[in-house]
Order: sequence, then structure tokens, then C-alpha cells
Amino acid sequence: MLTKQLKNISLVVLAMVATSCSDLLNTEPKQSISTEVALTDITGVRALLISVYDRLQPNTYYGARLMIAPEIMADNVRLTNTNSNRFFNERVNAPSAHMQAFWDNYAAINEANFIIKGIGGANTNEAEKAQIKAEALFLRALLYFDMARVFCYEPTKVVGGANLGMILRTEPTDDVTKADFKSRATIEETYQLIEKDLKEAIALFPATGNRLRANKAAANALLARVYLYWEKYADAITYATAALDAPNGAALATGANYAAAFTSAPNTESLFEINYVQATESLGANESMHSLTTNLTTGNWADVVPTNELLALYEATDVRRTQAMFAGVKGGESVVFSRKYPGSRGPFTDNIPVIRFSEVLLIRAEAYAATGKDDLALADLNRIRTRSGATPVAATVKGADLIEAIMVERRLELYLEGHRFFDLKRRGQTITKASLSAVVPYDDFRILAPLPTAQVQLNSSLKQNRGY
Amino acid sequence: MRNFLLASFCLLLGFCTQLRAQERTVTGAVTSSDDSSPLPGVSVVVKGTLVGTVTDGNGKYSIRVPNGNSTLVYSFVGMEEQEVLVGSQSVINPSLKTLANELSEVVVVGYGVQQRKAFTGSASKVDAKQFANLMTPSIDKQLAGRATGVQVTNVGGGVNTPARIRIRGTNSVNQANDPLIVVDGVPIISGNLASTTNSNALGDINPADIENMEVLKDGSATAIYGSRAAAGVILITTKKGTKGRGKVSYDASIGFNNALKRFDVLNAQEFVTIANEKLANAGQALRANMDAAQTNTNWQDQVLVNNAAVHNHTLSAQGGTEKTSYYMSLNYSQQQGIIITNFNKAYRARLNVEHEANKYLKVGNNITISRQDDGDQNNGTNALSGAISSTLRLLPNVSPFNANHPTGYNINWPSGNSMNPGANTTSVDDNFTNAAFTLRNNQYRSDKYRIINNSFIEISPIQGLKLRSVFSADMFSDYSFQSWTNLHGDGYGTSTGGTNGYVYNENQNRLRYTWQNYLNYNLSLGKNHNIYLTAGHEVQRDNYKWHSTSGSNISDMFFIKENFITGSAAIQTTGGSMTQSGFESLFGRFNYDFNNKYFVQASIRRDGQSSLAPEKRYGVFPGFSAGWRVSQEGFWANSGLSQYINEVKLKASYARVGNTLSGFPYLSTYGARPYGNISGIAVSAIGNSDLQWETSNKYDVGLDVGILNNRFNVTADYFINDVDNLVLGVPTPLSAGVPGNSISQNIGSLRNKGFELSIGGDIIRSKDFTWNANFNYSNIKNQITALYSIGGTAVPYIQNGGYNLIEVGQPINVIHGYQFSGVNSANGNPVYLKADGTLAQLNISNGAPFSIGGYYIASGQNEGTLGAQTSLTFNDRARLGNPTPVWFGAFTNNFNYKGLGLEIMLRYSGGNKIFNITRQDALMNQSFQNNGREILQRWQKPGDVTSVPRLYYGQGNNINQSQLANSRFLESGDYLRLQNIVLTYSVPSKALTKATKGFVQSLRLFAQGQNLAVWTKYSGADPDNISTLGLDNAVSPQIRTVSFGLNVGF
Repeated sequence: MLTKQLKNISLVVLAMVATSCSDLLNTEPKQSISTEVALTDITGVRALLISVYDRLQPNTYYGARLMIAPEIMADNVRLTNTNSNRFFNERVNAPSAHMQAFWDNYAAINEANFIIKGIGGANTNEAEKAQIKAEALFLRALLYFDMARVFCYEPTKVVGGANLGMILRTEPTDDVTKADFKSRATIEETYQLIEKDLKEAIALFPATGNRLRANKAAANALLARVYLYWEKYADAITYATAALDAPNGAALATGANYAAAFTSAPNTESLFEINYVQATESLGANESMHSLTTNLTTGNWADVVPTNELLALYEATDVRRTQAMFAGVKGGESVVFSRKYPGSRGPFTDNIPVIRFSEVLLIRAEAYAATGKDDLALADLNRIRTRSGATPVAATVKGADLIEAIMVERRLELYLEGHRFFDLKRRGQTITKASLSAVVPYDDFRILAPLPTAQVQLNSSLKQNRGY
Repeated sequence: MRNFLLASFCLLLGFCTQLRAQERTVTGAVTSSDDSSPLPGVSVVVKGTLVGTVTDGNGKYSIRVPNGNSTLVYSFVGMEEQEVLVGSQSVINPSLKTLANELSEVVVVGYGVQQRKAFTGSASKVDAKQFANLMTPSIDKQLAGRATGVQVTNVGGGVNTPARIRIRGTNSVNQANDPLIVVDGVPIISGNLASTTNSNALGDINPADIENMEVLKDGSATAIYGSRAAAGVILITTKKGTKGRGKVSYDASIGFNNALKRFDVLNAQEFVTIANEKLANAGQALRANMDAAQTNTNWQDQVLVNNAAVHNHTLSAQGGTEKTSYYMSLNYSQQQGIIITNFNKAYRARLNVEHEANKYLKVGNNITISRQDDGDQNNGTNALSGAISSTLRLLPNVSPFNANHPTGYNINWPSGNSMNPGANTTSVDDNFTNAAFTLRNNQYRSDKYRIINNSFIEISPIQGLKLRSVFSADMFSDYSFQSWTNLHGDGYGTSTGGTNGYVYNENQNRLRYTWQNYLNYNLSLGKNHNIYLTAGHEVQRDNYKWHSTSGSNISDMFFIKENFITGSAAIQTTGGSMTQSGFESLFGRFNYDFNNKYFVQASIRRDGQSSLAPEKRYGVFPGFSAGWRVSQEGFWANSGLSQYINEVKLKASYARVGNTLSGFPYLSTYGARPYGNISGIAVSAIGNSDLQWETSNKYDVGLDVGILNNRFNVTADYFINDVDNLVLGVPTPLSAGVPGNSISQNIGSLRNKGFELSIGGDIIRSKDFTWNANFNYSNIKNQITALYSIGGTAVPYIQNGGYNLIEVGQPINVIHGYQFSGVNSANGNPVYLKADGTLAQLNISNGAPFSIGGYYIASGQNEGTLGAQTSLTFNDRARLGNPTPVWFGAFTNNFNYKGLGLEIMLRYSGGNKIFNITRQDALMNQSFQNNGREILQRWQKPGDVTSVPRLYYGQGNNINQSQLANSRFLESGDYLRLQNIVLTYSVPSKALTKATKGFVQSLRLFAQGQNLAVWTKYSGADPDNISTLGLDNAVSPQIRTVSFGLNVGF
């Protein structure tokens, strides 16, 4: 009797144990998708490409830093007396406050590498494969170029033999073993990779495309910019012309519409601009260009304003001064604010132009002037001055003076678009900060950003920049 | 379980009762010596026979005894046994004393109970009686000082913030350090389940429902919990009904919360002086002025309340028949915090029922249902609308109110982004918001429902064997709400810009179910061999889901009062996520004791866990221990010593247990990354399929001593926890593009070693007066013993934020910063000691704003001339101190005189350093903001000797070295705290019974004070207001509670 009961009971217990399923432990992650799931399908590849664009957006990159730091580290921008402490050290070119965070671009480069490597086998038609690969190549080139501008001298302007470029990775890190410790390539090799990627992208892109995404015109324009930095002026002229001749719907904004162009998405002039959706991508009241550079919304920091010497360069009738700037008061101080980031995409949200029609014209003008074609240079330059309501530069201005006029025009036209510091750097010029009575000579170590200290400590074959 | 054993014992006795000749009847009532209340269920046995009975619901009994030479033995679980010679008495009314003897108690262990004398692990019991009279919303807050080796930190005064519990030190760098909480045998969801408010999951358990808690500390005690045991286990047992007459009781208490200590900030006049001096020194126009009304606002009065009400009511009933017993309770508890918006209301009900269907089968169900309502506020440590961060900075010469503003508050009109400056020329820097307004108009609420149900069936087919199956479901649902008005503060804006009102709802849903099937088998072979076996299987599954909705740019603030309303927000966003995890385990435990003298235990658990790769999913965790009761040996009993020292037990244990990982660290995962309005995905983590548990090798040796027939008890333990396979993120080069730039590996190790001592007993024990004292002391030293290597070189340290290092040879998170050597009396500059022994002074005046860094060599501490420019580098930072308390404990005294009782509990802790960020960033700021009164000691003129540098507007970050540690703001964390004073009075039961005609059985009145005083050199609000990193950053003051209550038994 008892043994029978015992038997029954043990059967019950056994049954209890047996029914507990072993797939209890086989739970898949629910908030993230595992690697195998993600890249098996073209939708995964498309989605990964979107992530690369997403990585251009943060305030530490195109969202604000790349727009403001090159201005304030040079002579276009100052901080108001009362300020948020943002860019406080950048404005005195403190060694710790460069754009070293751009080293993070490698995360996006890795994703581009995944796409470039994987797209060949994806289940889609050749046209889409070409489009996706071209976009990834364009983005990889842009990411490398932005890092090269920050961490390296231009190939033709190397100081003290410091010709180091970036660590070049073109294969995805899909395995722990591939996360090896590499050393830096030369700057020449870095530019060659950028050039190769852009040429390949240009060949793959269809003639037209979305200007909120990488496209053929943008690739031509970016390559022209790269050649300008590289001082390969003939090539710069070729690709700038290609971009200007087939601008993918972009055009030079009229004077009347100059400021309004910055409120349309994309900007009339943008060959490529970064798109932001307010609900999920706004950089907010603390870190957005809108907050930092305007007082149009109450509570904005409104502490990034043009220097007096820049303001003095604008003619009274220049729409870029009359339309795209306005007077205001910050902390009791009379200042001038920009209207390039008016919050046109929703509160604290603006699109960021990466490369504009005007810049391409100025690239070509400078390349013409550098190669002695002053009349062609003058024509391009005066197209911009004329539409802006500024007096055209006289035909008597030639050679070095003409190049200087183009440099001034770049300041006026590309204000708050992140160019001034790089323009001075690529030409090996001294930064003169009138408002601070300070200069940063070209051979000063602070011209290059320090590589992140932790990276140099981590990787013994990674050579730090001079002076750090 | 105990009740069950007792019941079956009584049952047996009943069967054996026989009638004998020459008998006579003895009657009487058995009472408790504690409160003279009647004791039902007491066993009354004629000594040397099997004749016996059990007292009824009123403690009354009647027994027939053979003759006058008979002795009656009265015994009851938890009470001292009493023997009475019958003689000629026919009425005997014994009064039983509660057992003081710890060694004869039982210990609740995982999946069973053991006799404490046979227990060879290390555990501390916390009896519910210890906190029965204290006003407390949840028991975690009352654990501090109650058990050795258990360090409990109540951070800040939030009534809905869980306490931080660390058992035998910090056992992990990156994984959880919180103990596993097990209620009635089942692991429950615990921790801070915050969404819009802090939220204490343990608050769902009514402290009044708790019978006792057992804190399992060493390896052998915890090994049965295998991979979840590294941080210790807390077993909570809830009350059960006892057989006999039912008992109904009502507990009520009402009291008040106040801030134990407020911040000492400048008054208006002092502020004007200091603010203008900052500006003048920086060459700027003065801004601060007193207004005509001499406004002097103490902003803390706007944010902190005095005498915040707390009350707590529990109605409980318990009882049982021969077959069925029950315990039920209803509770309402309301705690108003000291910040005006902080509250916790709990509504809790419990029903525990057990039924014996027959002698083979028992079934039961425990259920608790609770609702918690929480209110909170912006607690951001640097937030512009943070309750404390803004209060400390708002200008004292400005009124919070303005009759001319539609809201009645001091807010700019029509643009409400800032406050009116009053008589000052500008408003507070950084636009800190009017805390009086934002706290009253922004809402942070949540209401939570919880059901924990656990059903069991227990089969006892043969004597000594029990098969038990327990199914438990723990269900948690939280509905949270947050809203910010558009008028001022975080939600400020208009329809054309800014946030313009914000509303947020979140729903969290958690479900954990657990199914345990196990057996306990008790076997005695012959006289001397006792075997106790436990074996079983357990599965657990967790589901967690949440979604949220938020809206901004609200059409009308009417819509954000209670909930998100469709269509009311121009901008709407939603979010959501889900996770699942599972456990499957087999476990077994074997205990053997010989002659009650030698004990051994071995246990093993095999855990399978869903967060690990399939091939690494299972782990085996063994534990061993042995004990020797020296006092049971002949040589001891025969020596003179035994007369004084009646009990000596030596024990030793070793176990290897684990610390589980969360998430899916073995898988590379992708997460959402949208661009524009196109959704995208990207790698969010690179997995490591080799990952396993962090493992903890726990060693313990201990000694239990009973003195003077257990009148005094001493327990001492020495332990080492060697934790290895710590999961650390090993850095990968950034250029590899690995997300997070690291890959998790099982690679580091650390060690906690410590000593615990507990001494307690009755110092005075007389008929009417007893004095019981208990002292406990714990000392725990933590040391990181290894980290990872890179390129073959061992990494000596990992930076953990700006203030701490994880460094080999140092305690975890050692505070690391510059060495402040004082203020230069010649010029008021702060001076720091560099690693090479030279001094560097920060040139406050022209070091900023235009030159870099601004440090110059000083040839002497008071050298006024600036030497060569220098800088402070990482290498100049020194190890400033250990952020974790090293020693702690408590000293508790209980005095009882007749019905009057007094308990005084003192608690102490120290050996740690606190880095006071509140002082560094808020109280000593150099902005146009208020300061702490310490700033009045600032350097003003050459020759001033002080530790507060010269004031200089705008240079706070440089002068105070914001975001980095330095020794100027480092303070000792040692303290002594008057934790509780409890005064109780029990109305004598005879008088009470008489007066109420037996309607009221017992009545106790009490008054208590908690956290009444703290003695410390720490200058901040409280030395317990520290993060695990030893940082104190704008945390609300601690609460002092005084309350009065009564307990009526019917």
C-alpha cells in the first residue's frame, strides 16, 4: 500500500520535472536582433545603411560640433559674455578641446564596411546594389575625410615630417579577432582611399538622387573639396564642374530667397544635407545649433555669435548680413545672431547642410585662381557676390589677392557651416583671434587634434600627434 | 513548518493518552511572560509518560495526572520549556518565557529548515519583533545594523527609494550586487522598478506580515541558490496561523517626518555680499541688491516640509483548527516624504492558508495583493528644476512669489523661462527654475499593482519524507505618469517654441513564474546518526514588457493633469521594449550529524541560464561545510568550563557560487537607429559566446558560543570571498568600430575578506526587570586583485568616471583625485601638490579666462609670485580613499520593567571617504547663485589663512575642479547614529481582561523615534547619502520619524 503510494508520488514528481521544458532557456533577445538575423536580407542591409546616416547626426558631429568648433577655433565666432560654457575651451584653442571625438567615426565606418562587403550577395537587383554600395562608399569617404581634416595635416602641408594619416580599415570587424591593433597609414594613403571610394561611388550612382541622402552630385562636390585640400587643383575644377553641371536639382539661391533657403528641406543649395525629424532626432534645448546660435526660442543658449571682424567684412547690402543675420541682446550685450538655424524642422531642429552649391562654386573659383585662371575664378566668385547684393570683386584683383578675396568670401558665405579653421589649416595660415588678441601659428601643435589618450595607451603602435 | 511539526507531535500524543487509576485533574492557563497574553497550542505533558494535551484558544488546559509526584512539562515553539511539580496543586498557571537561546532555534534555509545547532553555515536571523513597533513602509529600510556582514545604506530621504543592501561586501564590478530576495521559498522581483518615480518592489510586502528574515551569508548557506548566490540571499518568511482560538489584532501608528539635517546656505544679506564679491573680483558689474522689503527667502522652506504625516494601519487575524490554519491581514500605509511632492501610499492584503487534508497531504496558498501609489519629483543632481539642486542655488534675496503674475509665483512675464531678478540686475545664473512653482505644478506619479501568489502541495508518504511542489506567480504592473507645465521649468515653452508642456505615460508589466518540486527527507539511523536530505528541481521564467507615450507642445494644460489625452499634443512619441529570461535548476543537499556533535553538509546546484550561449549555459555550484559542537564532548562536559560556557560550536565552510548576467551578452545584437523618418538598425553590442557567470569562492570559519546556559551568546565569523571571472569590458581599439569599444570577458578578480562579531545577552535578568544588550561589529575589506591585460601587459587600473578608479591592489572604486594643499594666503589661489612634490597654484584672476589651464609652479604654499606655467595631469592624482564603509554595526539595548519596555539602538559605520560633490558643484559655486555658508570663510586679503580660495565669478569649474575629485571636498564618512528609541507599554492583561470583560486580550502602546541624531564630522546632509562610488551629489536630506502607536489584540 505504502510502496504503491510512494511509486505514484514519485511518478507525479517525475512528471512535474519532465514537463518543465528545456526551451525555457532558449529565449531570443527581444529588443535587439542578433547578427545572423540582421544581415541575411536586403532589408537588413538597407537598415544598416540608415544607421550610418544616423551617426552623422549627433551634436558631437554634424549636429553642432563640426559646425561651430571650426568657426570658434578660428576667427569667425566668439562666445557672448554670459554663456553656457560650451565651446569655452575651443575658443582659446585649448589642447584638450579639439575635435578628437571624431575618432568615433570608426563605428560608422565599420557599418559602411559591412555594407560594402555584404551588398554583393544581397537578395536584390543590381540597381539597388549599386545605389547602396555607392552611398556606403560616399559615407565612408566623408567619415575618413572629416577625421583626416582633424587629426592629420593635408598631404601638401605636412609640418615636421608628421605625415601620418588615419588607421585605415576597409574590412568589417565581424569577429573579435579582427579588432586588432593597427598603426596609422600615411596621409597620402588616407587621401588615396577617400579618392578611390568617391570615384567608385560616382561611377555607381545614378544621375539623380535624394539630396537628403548621398548622391552623385554630392560625391562629385565632395571629391572636388578633397582635391582642393590636396591642392590638386585641376582635378578640383573637373569634379566641381561635374557637380555644378549636374547639381541634382540644387541651384544657387537668389538673394531674395537666401535666408528662406535655410528653412526648406533640403536647402535650395544643398547637394547633400543631413535630415532631422523633430520627434526623434531633435538635439534639444541644450545642444542644438538652434539653441546655441539664435535667441529665436526663449531659453536658447544664444551664446555663439559672429566676431566683430567678421561682421565688419559684410557690406551693408549683403543679404547674408541683412537677411541671414539679425540683431539681438544676450545678457545685456548687443550681439548679432545667425538665421541659418531657425528651428525650421520643429523646435530646436534644423537640417544641416553638408555641401552647398555656393561652396562648390567657391571651390572651383579657388582652384581656378590657384591655377592662374583668374577670370574664370572671378566669374564664379562674383556669381555669389552679385546674388548676395555685395559689390562684385574688381577684375583688377589678381593672383594672391584674388585667392584672399575668395577666402574672405568663404567666411561670409559659409559662416556657421564648419569651414574656417580647415580653410586656414589647409592653406598653412596663422589663426589670428582679434577679439582675444591671440594667434595660433600654423606650426603650433594645437592645429591637430590629439588622438584620444585612451586609444594611444591601448594601442602601442598608434602614434600620437606631436605635442600631446 | 514548525507549526506543522508541533501539530503532528500533539496529534501523536493525543493518540497515546490513556486513562490510569488514581488520577486527578489539573487545570490552568498558560500565558506568555512577555505580555501575559494567553498561549494557545502549548503542549502539556506528564513527564516520563506519553500523557499530554494542548492548551486551547484561551491558553487553558485540563489534564489528568497519575499522582502528586507527577511533573508537568509545558513546551511551546520559541518558548523556554517549563517543568512544574504538581504536588497538591490542582490549578497551575505557568508563564512561559521567550527563548533567548539562539542555538536552539531553527534556521530557515533554502528549500527547508534546520535546527540552528545543526546549522554549519553562516546566517543572521532578523526577528520581526525587532521592527514591529517601528514606522516603516518596507523592511529593507530596517535591516541596517540588524545583522552582521549586512551593510544597508538608505540614500536620501525618498520614501519610495529602496535601501542599498550589500551582504559581505561588493562582489561585482559591473554586475548586480543586490542579494536574492526569497519570500516563503520563492525568489521575488526586487529592486528599484522606477519609471517616473522611485519605486520599491519590497514595499509590496507588508512588514507586519513578516515572521522573520534570515540573511544567508556564507557559501554553504547560499550554495543551494547556485548561480544567484554571490551577493547573498535574504529569506523572508511570512506569518502563519496557529491552531487554537483565533486572534485578531489591530496595529496603528501615526507620526511625523522631518528632515534630519538641512543644508546650511547663505541668507539674503550674506548672499548679496558674496555674490558681489565674486563679480567685483572678476572685474564685472555688481548685480546683487537687497530689495526694499528686505526679502530673505529660505528656499528649503519651499521644498521641504516639516512634520510630514505618516500613518500605518494593519488589521490582522490568525488562527486555525486541527486541520486548517490561516493568517490574513489588511494594511494601509501612508508616508509623506520631506520633499513636498514625495509620498508613498500602500494598500496591502495577505492571506496565508494551510490545510491538512489527511496525514499524507497538505495544501496551502499564500497570496499578497498590493497597490502602491508613489509621488516623486525631478531629483536630477544638476537639473535646473531638480528639487535639491535648484533649492541650493536659488537666490535668497528674491521672493518665490509675485502677486502680479497669473500663477502667483515669481516667474517672468510674459516669457516664463526664467525668474524675475527682484532687486538684482540679473536672475539666477543658468536659469535655475522657481522650485516653489515647479514642484507644485510638475507631476511625477505612479500607481502599481502587485500580486504574489504561491500555492503548494506537500505529500508526506512516509515518516520523515516530504514531497513539496510549489507554484508561484509574481505579477507586477506599473502605470506611471509625468507632466510638466508650459508656464515655467522643464516644460516651458509656447506654441511657437520650446517644449510647451510635456506629458508622459508609461506602463510596465512584469511576470515571473517559478515552479519548484523538491523533497525533504529526515532519517535517523539508530540513536546517533541523523540524515537530512533535500533534492529538487526548479524552473523560473521572467517576462518584462513596457511601452510609453509622450507628448509635447500641448494644446491646453488642462489636458496634462492626470493622463495623456489623445490629440492634445502636437508632438507625440511612443516607445517600448520587451525582455525575457529563464532559469532551470537541479539541486540537492545532504546533511549528516553524528550524535548531535559532528555535522557535515554538502550541497550542489546545477543552473541553466538563458542569458548564456547554449554551450556555456549550465554551471554546477557545490558547497561544503562542517561543524563540531565541542561542548557536547565528554571532556568539555566534565571540565569546570561547561558550567560557564555551555555551548561551543566550531564550523567551517566552502562553496563556489555564481553571479548571474543579465541580457544576452553572448550574442551580437543590433538596435534601432533611425535617420530622418526612415528606420534603421545597427550593431549595438558585440557578443562573446564564451561568457559565463562571475564565480565566487566563499570561505568561512565561525564560532558560536553560549554562556551561562545561553544567557549570553557570542557569534564570530571570519570569511574570504574570492570572486573571479568578473565580467569586464575589455577595450578594443576605437578604430575597429566595435560598439561600446569593448567586448565583455570573464577576466577580473576581487576579494572581500572580513570579520563579524555579535555578542548579546541578558545583562540583568530579574523577575520584573531585564536588560538585554546586543552588540555587533563587521569589518569588510575589499580589494581588486586582477584586471585584464592588453597586448600581454596587465592593465593596472580602469577609470570609472571622473572620480573613481578600479585599480589592482585598491578597494573597488577608490576615489582618485588631486591633492589640495590649501589656499595661498598671499593671493587666495588654491594650491595643489603634484606627484613630483612641487606645488601648483591655479591663478584665479588672470589664469582665466584666456590662458590654458592656468596652473603655475608655486615655490611655497604661500608664495605670491607665479612661477613657470605648469599643469595638473592624470599622474598628479592620488588615491584619496575608499568609498565603501569598512566597518559598521550596531549596539542595541532593551530594558523591560514589568509592562514597560525601552529599546535604544545605536548604529555606526565608517572607514570610508565621501567625495562631496554637493559642496563642490552647488554649495561652493562661483556663479550668480546662492552658496553654502562655508563660502563666508573665503580668502579676502593677503594674510588671510583659510581653506576657501578667493572668489571669482565664472571660475567655479576651475577653482573647484568640477567633474574631478580633489582632496578639498573629500571627507570622512564615519558616523554614529541614534537609529531608534522605542518606548512600549503593555497594559497588564489581567486588568485588561477584567476591564473589557475579555473582549480585549492585549493592549500595547508605543512611541518611537527613528534616525533621531547622527554624530559625524561629515559636513553634508548625511554620511549615508552616498552612491556606490562614495559620491554625494545633491541628495535630499534624511528623514527623522517620530510616531506613536497602539496594538490591540482581540
